[in-house]
Amino acid sequence: MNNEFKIEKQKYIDSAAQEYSEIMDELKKEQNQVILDFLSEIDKKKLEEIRGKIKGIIENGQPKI
Amino acid sequence: MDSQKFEEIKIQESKPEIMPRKEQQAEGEIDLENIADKKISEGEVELNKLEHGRNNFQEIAKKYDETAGDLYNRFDEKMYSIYERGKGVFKSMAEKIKAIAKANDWNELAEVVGLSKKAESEKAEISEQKEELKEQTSKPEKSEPADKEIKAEAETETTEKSRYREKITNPEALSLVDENSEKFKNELTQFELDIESFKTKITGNLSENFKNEDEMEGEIKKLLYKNASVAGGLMYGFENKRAFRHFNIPNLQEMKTEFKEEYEEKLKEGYTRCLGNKSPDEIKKTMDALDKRLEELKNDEDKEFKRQFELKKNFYFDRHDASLYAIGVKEQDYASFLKNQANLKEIIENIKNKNKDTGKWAEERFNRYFHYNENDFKLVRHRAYYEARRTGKGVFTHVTNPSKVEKIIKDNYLRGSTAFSKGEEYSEMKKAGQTGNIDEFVYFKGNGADFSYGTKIEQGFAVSKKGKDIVFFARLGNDFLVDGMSVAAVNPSRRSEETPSGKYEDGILANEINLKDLYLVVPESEKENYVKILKENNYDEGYIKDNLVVIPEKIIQQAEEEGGRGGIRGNSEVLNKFVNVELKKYAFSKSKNRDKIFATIAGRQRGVGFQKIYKWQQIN
Repeated sequence: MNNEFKIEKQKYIDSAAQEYSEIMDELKKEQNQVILDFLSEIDKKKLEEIRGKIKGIIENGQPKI
Repeated sequence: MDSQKFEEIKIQESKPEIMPRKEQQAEGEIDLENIADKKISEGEVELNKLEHGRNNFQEIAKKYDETAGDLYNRFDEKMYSIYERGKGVFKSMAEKIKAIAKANDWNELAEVVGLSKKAESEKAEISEQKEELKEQTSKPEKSEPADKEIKAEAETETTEKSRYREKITNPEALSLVDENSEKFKNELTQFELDIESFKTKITGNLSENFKNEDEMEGEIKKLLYKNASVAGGLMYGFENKRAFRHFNIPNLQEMKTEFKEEYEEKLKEGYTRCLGNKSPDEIKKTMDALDKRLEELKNDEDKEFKRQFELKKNFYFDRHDASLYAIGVKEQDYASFLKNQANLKEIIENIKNKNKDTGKWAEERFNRYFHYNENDFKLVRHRAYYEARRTGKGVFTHVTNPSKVEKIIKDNYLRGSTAFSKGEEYSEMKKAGQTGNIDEFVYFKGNGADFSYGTKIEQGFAVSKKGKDIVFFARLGNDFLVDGMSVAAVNPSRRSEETPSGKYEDGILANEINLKDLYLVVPESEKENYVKILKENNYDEGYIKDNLVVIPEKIIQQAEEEGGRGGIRGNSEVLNKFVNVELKKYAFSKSKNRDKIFATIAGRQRGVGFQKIYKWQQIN
């Protein structure tokens, strides 16, 4: 196998690897976004819970311990 | 065994693995297997990072005590899906690299390189649309840009604003772009005046300025909808469904019900405006052609298709104009729009202070349906440009794996650009490489190795090599437009409800084009074979006569000679010429809409080496 042929092949290997790497970067970003969205949903949920508690206190008075 | 001894043995045992093969090669030689292994190992490390990402997510969930329930499951599923997609991509990459490394001669390499070239061209497609993706995935901003920022942007946008406009070569299209740009400005000015006038009324004495609360609410409602119609309507024909999709309005159906009156009024306005752009003769001719087509469809068994056609007919008139609208809109225009929008928001705040319920109502609607940011505008313009370019006077060709053609004929439908997994966002599809000119039979079912960028390349719709492989479907861009199919044909979308046959697998959404709207282009040597297949599948003589287009053997031979050892190339100039001259001429001669002028046929402006492949695969 001559070197020219090998160089050509190496070029394509590099290109495939590069392409893969770019897709993986995108997927990583996507994962980060999912985590951020998850956190934001948790925030909303907690806020609702707090609101519910406050509403309960307003309507029913302080819970007796 | 003492620990030192153990370590020595361990090192000795692992030596052959550690020593790179390259060192065993003669100096100057390239050890491809070693390089391939290294790349694959590095790829595995990358894949592991995705796994860590999922673990991180689970850790976070634990921290917040959210390790079960709908919320957790929903997000965990997303994380899992991303990881699985990564696995699929890894697998494809590893196989491809191994195949390249193993290729023993130029012929074998040509086989693999064909795939790699395809991969590159797909990559180019992705990078060309990167801006679109970026804009698509951008979340709406929480607050409007400050005036200073708007001004700064307007000042620096000189180059950007002309980017799309300058690509338009058709003078008639160009004048439409400018005309529509002017219209946008006028509407914008009107919107500004409306806002100012309402502002004066709302900040003054309410009982003097409004007859009653209902009148005030009615005016707010109109103003809110105007915000949307100025943004969406002028740029893309708000009455056009695509505008809603492009602007990514959540709760769309709800909005249309709540704002039914305003919506219908706008629909009429848009229709009149679009008809108004044409000469009476032209309107009549187009209407007649559409009515005739409807008449033809009267007895068509496929009621759904007829219904869709009727719907599309209603949306037709603003199609190409709408695209040109978007192209014509400049950044300083939408900067002004955003300023108006900020004023509107301020007004809502004022209302809240004066009339809490009404203010809250308006605020909710504003947040829910009617607010935009600059990315919305950029995205719409970008997509409009794509549409104008892809559906111009050119011939759209859909290159298909020949082994699948028979099935397409049997089904009577060509799946559009893409097929993708239910529940996946458009941006996710793009990342998975599913939004190019994908062979419609490469299904992506999600959550598995199939759901990957590599798979569609391996399925081999890519570049044909032998004469008999040159089989594709084609149609004039104009005709797509007239049937309201332009987007369906060449752009990915999630409009599953608009697929005429509804024949898609559960979980797969796709656009479809009826075969009667397409030319089937085959090499001369395959003609008899395809005539037989068409007859077997009940296509009539008329269809075969008009829609089966033959590539003369001479052309095929020239293309084969031109390609040399690797066979016919995707960028074959011979075939390119055939598509752009012969096929185009034929399609025009058969088209009912050949007298219509549509947008533009701007060429691709990107990296050397890619244009040609796409040139004959997709558009002229």
